[in-house]
Amino acid sequence: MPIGLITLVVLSILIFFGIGQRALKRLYLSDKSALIVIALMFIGTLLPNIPLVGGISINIGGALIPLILCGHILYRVDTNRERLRALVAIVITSAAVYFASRYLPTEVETIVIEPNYLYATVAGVVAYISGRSRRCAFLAGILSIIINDLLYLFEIYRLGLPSSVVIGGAGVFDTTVIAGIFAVMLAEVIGETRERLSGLRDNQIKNAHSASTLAKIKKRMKKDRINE
Amino acid sequence: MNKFFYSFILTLLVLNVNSVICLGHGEDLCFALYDEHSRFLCNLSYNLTIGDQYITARNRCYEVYKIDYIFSKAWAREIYTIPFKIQENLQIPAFVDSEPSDYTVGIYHTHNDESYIEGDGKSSISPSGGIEDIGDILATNLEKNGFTVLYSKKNHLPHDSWSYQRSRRTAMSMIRKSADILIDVHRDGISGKYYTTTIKGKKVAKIRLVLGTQNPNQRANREFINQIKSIMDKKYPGLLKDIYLGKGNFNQDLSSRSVLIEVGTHETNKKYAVRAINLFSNVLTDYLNGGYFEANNGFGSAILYLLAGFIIIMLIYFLFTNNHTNNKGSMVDRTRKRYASAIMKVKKKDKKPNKK
Repeated sequence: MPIGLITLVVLSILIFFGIGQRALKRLYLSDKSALIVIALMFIGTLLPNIPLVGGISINIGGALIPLILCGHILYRVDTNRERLRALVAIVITSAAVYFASRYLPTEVETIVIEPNYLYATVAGVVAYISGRSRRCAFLAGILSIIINDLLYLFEIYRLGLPSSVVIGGAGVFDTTVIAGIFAVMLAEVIGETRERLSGLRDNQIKNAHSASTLAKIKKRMKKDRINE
Repeated sequence: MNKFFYSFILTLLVLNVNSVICLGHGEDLCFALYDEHSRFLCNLSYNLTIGDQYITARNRCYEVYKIDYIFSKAWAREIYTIPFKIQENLQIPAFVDSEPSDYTVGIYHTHNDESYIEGDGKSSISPSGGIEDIGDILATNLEKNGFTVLYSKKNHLPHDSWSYQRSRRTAMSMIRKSADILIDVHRDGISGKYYTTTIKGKKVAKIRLVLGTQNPNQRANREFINQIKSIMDKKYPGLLKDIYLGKGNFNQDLSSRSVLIEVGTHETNKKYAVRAINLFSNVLTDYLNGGYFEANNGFGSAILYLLAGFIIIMLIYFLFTNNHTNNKGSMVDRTRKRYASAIMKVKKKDKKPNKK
């Protein structure tokens, strides 16, 4: 089973059981809409790519639906400052992924980490460091890979290669999807850990930008104990 | 902004250190591999790490335990011998009801520029190298034997580490067209003398099979490679150089029958590589006709199953879980109340006398 599929199945189960609601909320998604998006991505993966202009085609599950989601998030972002931070994160992450693709080992026998995971991790880590929020991490993770696909067009013209670009062509198995999910998960895990280590009280965590479901569960358990 | 800048530089440094440590696939640079008794096993042109595994043509699996980077030497201990039983009396199971044309083989090249110095003139020719001729021959032979072949000459250059991402999309497009087997055809970069043998009086290039170990489908792919190896050993002993268990997945997670093959090296005479691929196509023909598996039914049924499963799961979720809005009660309760109120309204309408 490809890693992209495993990630999405695990994610679906976590969303189904109500975990990660805080992260979904920051992405302006409810449980239902997140499950619908994931299902559409699965189905879109199996459908043929949509041809665009200039030798570019796009896969519905691997790029079109994530792009629409990114557009939705960018449109709904609260402040212009956060929008600008997201754009900066996208540029920095795209550059990091571009240089990674140029300088990492290329041959079968010299690969140390599977490129699919490595680019997703690079995108996730740099997206979180530069974006510092779930939204920015998600946007930068996905859009950095798509931007690199578009940069490949310039390589095609520069080198005169008889090739074309298929954005997100491997669907849910593509690095695009994995990068976005890794980035959000990193933001969630690191953000939560940082909040806990900094010793914030529960009500502070609740109000904090990166507050997570765990704090909510703890509060609910405390309330249940008091009611008993 | 300083944090962004420093984190960006740090990331680049980490990546560059990794590439510097990696000795590269230098076409003149390789490790000599010895067993624990210092007997020479083979030359390998890759960045060895402790724990790497290597399966010889004689079915012995070795694991690297010591590396000398200065003198490019490594030592490996034998961890097991694989019992390859040739299935001579294989009965084709009754449920494998597939004709040759039902089987689809997908062939592509991640590194399209790979070529043979003796035959093509250079070791690398952009955009299309000599390796595409080898792929062509494999595709033509399989088509002649009645199989459906999807041969893609889509270019995945430049020859960088992103090329596996590009070829992943090509592989995925073949999966959508119900490819049963995926083959990524390459040539190796070590000295040619380790990659030549004689079969039936003629010099032939050896073929290396590569299995990605960072791959959830690893066991299925290993089973596939083991079956191919058993046929190769029976039909053409010596044709298989070895099986390399590489880090990475080489897009082998997309299919349970996916393999990367290295047909000779840049120093091998291209004629020998052509002979090798002709023999390999016979091996594949025997494998596909051998009743090992049933041909892929295609994605149509997969889509239907996915849709059905999705609808069932969403129905269960919507009916029995609490909504996360302010409305209290489950979807069942709210639906019941909604219809109950609609029924009440209808009954009230019935009770109203007709105005004349």
